[in-house]
Amino acid sequence: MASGSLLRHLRRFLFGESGYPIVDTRKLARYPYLEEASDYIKDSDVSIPDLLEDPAYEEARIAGRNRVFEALDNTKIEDHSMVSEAEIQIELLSYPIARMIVSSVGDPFLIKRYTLSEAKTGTLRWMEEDADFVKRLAEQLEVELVVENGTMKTHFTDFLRNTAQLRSKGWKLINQRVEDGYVVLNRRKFLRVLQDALRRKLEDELPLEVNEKILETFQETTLELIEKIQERKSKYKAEDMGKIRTTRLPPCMHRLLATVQTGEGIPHTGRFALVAFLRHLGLRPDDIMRMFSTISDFDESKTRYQIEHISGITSGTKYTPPECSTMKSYGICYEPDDLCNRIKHPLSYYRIKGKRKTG
Amino acid sequence: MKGGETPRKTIDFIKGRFKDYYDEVELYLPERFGRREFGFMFFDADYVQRHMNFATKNEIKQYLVNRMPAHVYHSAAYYSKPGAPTMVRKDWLGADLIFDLDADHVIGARKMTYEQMLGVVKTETMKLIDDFLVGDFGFEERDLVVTFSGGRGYHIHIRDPRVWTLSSHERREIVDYILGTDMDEEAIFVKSPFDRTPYGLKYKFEMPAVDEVGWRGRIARGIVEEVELLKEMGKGEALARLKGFEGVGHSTAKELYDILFEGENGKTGYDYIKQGNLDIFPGDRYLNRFKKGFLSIVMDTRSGKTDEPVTSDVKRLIRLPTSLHGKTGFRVVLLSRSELDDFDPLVEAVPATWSDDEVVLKGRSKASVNLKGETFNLEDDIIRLPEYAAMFFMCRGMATLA
Repeated sequence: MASGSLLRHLRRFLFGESGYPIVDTRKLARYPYLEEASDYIKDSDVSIPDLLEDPAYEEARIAGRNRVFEALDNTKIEDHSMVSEAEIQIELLSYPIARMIVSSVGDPFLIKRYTLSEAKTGTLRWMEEDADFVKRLAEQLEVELVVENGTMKTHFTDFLRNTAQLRSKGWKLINQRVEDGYVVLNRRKFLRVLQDALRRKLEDELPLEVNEKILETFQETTLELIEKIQERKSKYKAEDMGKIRTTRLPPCMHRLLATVQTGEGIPHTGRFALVAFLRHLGLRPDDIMRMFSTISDFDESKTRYQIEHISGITSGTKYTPPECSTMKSYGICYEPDDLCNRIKHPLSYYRIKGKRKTG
Repeated sequence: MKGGETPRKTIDFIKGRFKDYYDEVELYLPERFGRREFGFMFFDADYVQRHMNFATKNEIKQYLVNRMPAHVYHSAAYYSKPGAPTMVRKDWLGADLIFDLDADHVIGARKMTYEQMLGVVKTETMKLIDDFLVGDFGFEERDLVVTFSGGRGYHIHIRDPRVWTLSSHERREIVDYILGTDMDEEAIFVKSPFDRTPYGLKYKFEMPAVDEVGWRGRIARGIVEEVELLKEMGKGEALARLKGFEGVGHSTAKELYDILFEGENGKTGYDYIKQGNLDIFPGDRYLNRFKKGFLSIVMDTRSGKTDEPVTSDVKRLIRLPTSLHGKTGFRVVLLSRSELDDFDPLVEAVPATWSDDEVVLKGRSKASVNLKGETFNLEDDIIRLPEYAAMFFMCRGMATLA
């Protein structure tokens, strides 16, 4: 790396308590999505062809591959040893390599799962950082941040954009302190907002354009990943829904189910409603598990627990699906049709449709 | 239209007057109108002409003068290709945030006259702007475009670039905020332990302070004001009001009243409430009924009103300010917030183009309207009215040219 640009980055990045700039490559490696990290790599003498071919970067290529597998398996990037400068370099370079690999596969499920993992891991690590770091991070993620007498505030539009996936009551705008256009948040909640901002940003960036050379280098890993994703999908592949007829589903459940089956996440309230609904119609927990398995943040044990909880297996309470008014206030009553206007409960819809078919 | 088809002659008359209006009007066009879709409805066709796109103001004006549409709309959204025939090909770039208030949001509107109803909707519009849009959400007045819709209410367009890319779901959150939907009551009235006794924890009940921001302060002020009203109305009336609360009978109403206003040592429950202290009830039973009853009054009276589907639809068409409303003949009047205070739609929305010249009409039913300070009655008979009143009844479909 040219020493001039290195100094520039030193100044631009972190300043130690002493007031002297300290290059903290360890920090860059921990937060490789920061502009400083990509600038650092760009300005160093590592070129993409080197990264792909040079035996010196074999370990970085392996680390990049592992990064993707960690995301796929645990929705988390592990903390790797960064004692030596060499280890730090490997960790830092594993990020661009992981992105090349994910892009080579190009599967939307993998992209979602991978970006979610980076963002989730980020939030855990940001907890340890100081106010300056959080400020810079927010700036790069284009989330407005105003710090005033120890409170953090963000513009309500930034809050809405980055909490759209969080549908619990506590995250609704009405339950925030809104002051002159700004939502007042504590640090933990603000970092959660940034998590989604990072996830959205990374998801927007992927897949990167990949050339023949990249595809060739990661061919083996790519095939391995495709196979793994296929395996996941087939292990849990939605078989026929037994006695359930999808044509009888009300629009809300139809939409939730369709969203789940394309591998997209649905709000927690939506999962609850869908699971309770399907259970009520007699679907077994295993069948429901299969339907949820393609979601990007699918976690087998958690999902099983939730399904069993809703089914009354672990909780002793068998939950009934929410009625229409509740679905509406959750914001998961999608495109109600004429029949919806005459009923108060999604189950009635299914029942009435059934009668019509047979009668 | 009421009373069947409008005869050709009447339609042609209305269209002629619309043509005159569009000929002389200084047309308002929304920012970046070249990126917006325009839509029209006509007096003599029953389809909506959508996917129209204009490059210059003059093009739009010529279209209006030549085609004399009954209704003119533009999209709240901006597109790469606003004239493309499908939504996908249009390529959505963003949209203004729109609010629509009309008679549907007024309780008891059916029993009101048109004039009264418009008055209530205007009050709600001012509340929405002052308390929520400028108040809580901090929008600048210069980013608000307010219009009288020419029909039954008011529209507000917000042009702050920060709202442009909000999704439908995110816009619905804004509506929920305004309407007070899904308020977390437990976070508003906090039960917190403050002392440990040999018998267990002692709890203290708190409500927000009156000077807090947003909904918390609004609720606190609302409760204090409502309790004060209760105090002022005298015991008999106050008891009757308390009995209207859920789960409150005669004796509970009396007890609640005593707790609130008959305190010991000169300090009443009302005095404590003013300080945000709800620790005045001998048991949860009273507290819960108090909370429920007052919260429901406060939510009914302090929440904003607006049409949910309009705001959450990011591809909505909305009336063009300064165009004409084909079912009243009124102008869609562009207003600033301060102009709204003294605005009287039944005077100012009547186009100056409509003359005082007498027009002979055949009424279809009995009806009356107050325009420019004068009441005009329609009979099921031949009647002579000034042109501006005649235009109203003809556009309403209540009369035809005799």
